Amino acid sequence: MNMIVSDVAMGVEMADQVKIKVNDVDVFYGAKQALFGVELDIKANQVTSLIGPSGCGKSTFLKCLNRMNDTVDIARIQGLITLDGVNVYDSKIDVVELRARVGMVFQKPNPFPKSIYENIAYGARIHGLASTKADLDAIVASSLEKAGLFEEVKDRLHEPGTSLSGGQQQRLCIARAIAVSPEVILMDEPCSALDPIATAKVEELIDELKQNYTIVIVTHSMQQAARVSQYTAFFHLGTLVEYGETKKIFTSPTDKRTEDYITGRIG
Amino acid sequence: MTNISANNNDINMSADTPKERMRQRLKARYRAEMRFKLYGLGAIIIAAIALVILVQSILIQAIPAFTAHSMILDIDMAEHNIDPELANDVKQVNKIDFRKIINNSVYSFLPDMTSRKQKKDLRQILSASAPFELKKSVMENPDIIEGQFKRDYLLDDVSDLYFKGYISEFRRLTGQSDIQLEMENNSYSVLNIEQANKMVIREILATSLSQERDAVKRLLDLNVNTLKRVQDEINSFSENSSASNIERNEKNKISLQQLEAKGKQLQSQLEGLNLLIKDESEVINLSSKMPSIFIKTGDIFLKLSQFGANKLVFNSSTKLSVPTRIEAGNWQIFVIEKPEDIRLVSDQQAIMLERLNDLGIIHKHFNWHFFQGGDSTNPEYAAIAAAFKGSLLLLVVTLCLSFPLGVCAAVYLEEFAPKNQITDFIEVNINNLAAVPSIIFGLFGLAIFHGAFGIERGTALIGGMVLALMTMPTIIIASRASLRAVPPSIREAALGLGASRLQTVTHHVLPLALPGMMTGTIIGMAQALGETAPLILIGLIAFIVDIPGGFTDASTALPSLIYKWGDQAFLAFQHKTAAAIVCLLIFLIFMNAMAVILRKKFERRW
Repeated sequence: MNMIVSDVAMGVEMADQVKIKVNDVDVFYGAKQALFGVELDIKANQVTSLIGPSGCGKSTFLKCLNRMNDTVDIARIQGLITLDGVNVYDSKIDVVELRARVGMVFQKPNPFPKSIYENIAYGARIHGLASTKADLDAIVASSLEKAGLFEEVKDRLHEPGTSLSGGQQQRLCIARAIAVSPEVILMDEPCSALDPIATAKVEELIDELKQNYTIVIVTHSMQQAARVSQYTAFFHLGTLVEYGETKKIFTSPTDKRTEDYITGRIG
Repeated sequence: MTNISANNNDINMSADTPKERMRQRLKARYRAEMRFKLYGLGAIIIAAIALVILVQSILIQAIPAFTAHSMILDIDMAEHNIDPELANDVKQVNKIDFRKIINNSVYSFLPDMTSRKQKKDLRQILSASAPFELKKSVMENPDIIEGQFKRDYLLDDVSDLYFKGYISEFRRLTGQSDIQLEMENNSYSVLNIEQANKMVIREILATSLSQERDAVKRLLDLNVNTLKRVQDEINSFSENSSASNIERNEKNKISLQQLEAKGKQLQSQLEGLNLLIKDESEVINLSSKMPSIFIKTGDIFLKLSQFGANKLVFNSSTKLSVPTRIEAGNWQIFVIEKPEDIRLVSDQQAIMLERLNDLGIIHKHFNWHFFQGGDSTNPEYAAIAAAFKGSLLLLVVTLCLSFPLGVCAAVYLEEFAPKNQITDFIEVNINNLAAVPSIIFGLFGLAIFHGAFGIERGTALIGGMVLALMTMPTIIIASRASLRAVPPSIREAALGLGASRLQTVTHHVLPLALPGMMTGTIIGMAQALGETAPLILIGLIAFIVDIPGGFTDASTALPSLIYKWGDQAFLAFQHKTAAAIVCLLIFLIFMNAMAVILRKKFERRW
């Protein structure tokens, strides 16, 4: 909690600070190697987008960051990932606590089949963030507000989350992730199931959220990466080909493969 | 361009082009689809017809068991001078001769029935359980021991069937004319019976006689055939006159003579019957192989013994005085169509039943007792309440054991267990257990629960434990399937929020999987409800008269009661069996309806 407060307080000065450091990470699914020696520094309070053709390891990499790969029995990971200088794969790290600090939004909107209110309140409740009903109401309201959904749903908080439209559901999922006050939000192609208008809203939201959160987003849309992110990493066949400021990657990529992908020659 | 289109036309014209072949294949595919649809429809229709026939035949059998006939007895306890103190003590109550009280009350309705045989017939009209019912009333309410009261008692099953029309068909015709009775040698002759009534009697007798004639004819045919065979054998043996053949022919000749004599006898019998049927002037002597025909006036029943063109002779065993003249409308012709020889109720008993019915003390009512009592050796008092309660207790035990265990096992295997050879082995064995014959579980229960743990046989507790073993695989399989049906995105969402695995399961996965689990459980319960074999093995087939009060009381279950009743030879038990099956089916339909309602109510879509 203290970390978040200080992050928010220091704001832009911390912009260049490294939030997550990834050092020589290999991931294996059984005998198959999915990632080869990835090295990457994710900057705090910036949006980092991961691009690359299907099956290149972007999502695998993303899931390493909050250890969602743990749920896959055959997944094995080597290397070092540190969050604020602490190894997330350390045996002392509690995976539940880690996931509270590193939230995640999935490709397909996946609200719980409960009310909108319950969807948001759930995370806060299990982590004990609210001691009274009023606190909980405040968390729900502020999370919905941050996700830009409050105006749309304030009158029907007790209707099921699944009754919302696809775009609203995705913003609900973002609000749900925000509600546990994470430091990092991982987004796995959050707009792939949405129409252009809903996509625009979510992108706007991402741009606002970077004030307070470090965001890592996997996307298939180069335009989206260019629009929302400050840093871009290009993955190809399990290796990190190029990583740098988005502007630089899109205007003057150093690697031939990056250029080919961006111009549409591969992928 | 023109060239290409011309080519296309060429291709379309010839029959063996790929396009044409494709079209033909398409036709064949549509035909196959149509055939498949018809097969499916046919299967459904056959199944539906079978179901309708099954339900209909059970219902037809069951309907008579839902009604019963009772007799209202005037019971005069005061007349028997019973010491009122007796009623207060369970042991002393047995000193009261309730049977005598009941019997005297029945005798009082027909005071002219005085011989031993008549009294025996009379008291057998009432159920043999009636004295026990009276004893029960006295023990419940000792005050009645000094008074008079009226009370209903069920008739014996045979008497009940008589009134339900299962003993024979009856015909009743009101006499159209005055008749004159002349008494001679304990029999009565009627000369002036009206022609229309006479024709009816004649027709009934003719029908019966022609049935007898057909039977004689069949015997005669058999006789002729046998005769011919013996004759052939004699002929073939005489061609080869070896010692053994001569000896056998001696025997054959003797049997030939016997057969010929029998043939002659049958022939004359046949001729006699033919004459009786055709010639209306012949006198017919009635036997017990023919329908019983009575003239009935008031309490008096006169049985027809001889039917002549001019004179009808009747016999009577009654002590009541027979009038010499009866006016039209005051008498009836009463016919019991089934011959006395093959009937469960004798003429004498039938007369008693008719007279008691005329007194207005016998009435038909809904058979409430069937749903209130326990088993009985007297079919009329056999009831399902004890078995029904036993089945309920069994289900409670089964549910309490198998649902939590089954769900926990399913959750562990599906959500927590590592996927390795040990869990694979367990999974295969659970699936195998679901297919194990239920009697094996009965044996297991007998050996382990009774043998090793010493739980008493025949209780709902041990029965429920065995049934729980049997239903657990079903519940585990259904629960795992419904856990697997919960979309992984829900788990990911919860895990991604930082919920622990247990929280993910209890907060999100389990509530979503529960309707499916409940459906599986109810289907498993329904299966357990209908199970008989393991229950028989662990003693839940005992003769249970009292409704079990708890899990450790001796009980029985509906299916084992059905099994037991189905074994009984009495017609009344056949009806009761069908009625018990109907009750079991209603119970099952109710449970399955519950499963559907639960599923519909809690089903969530995402």
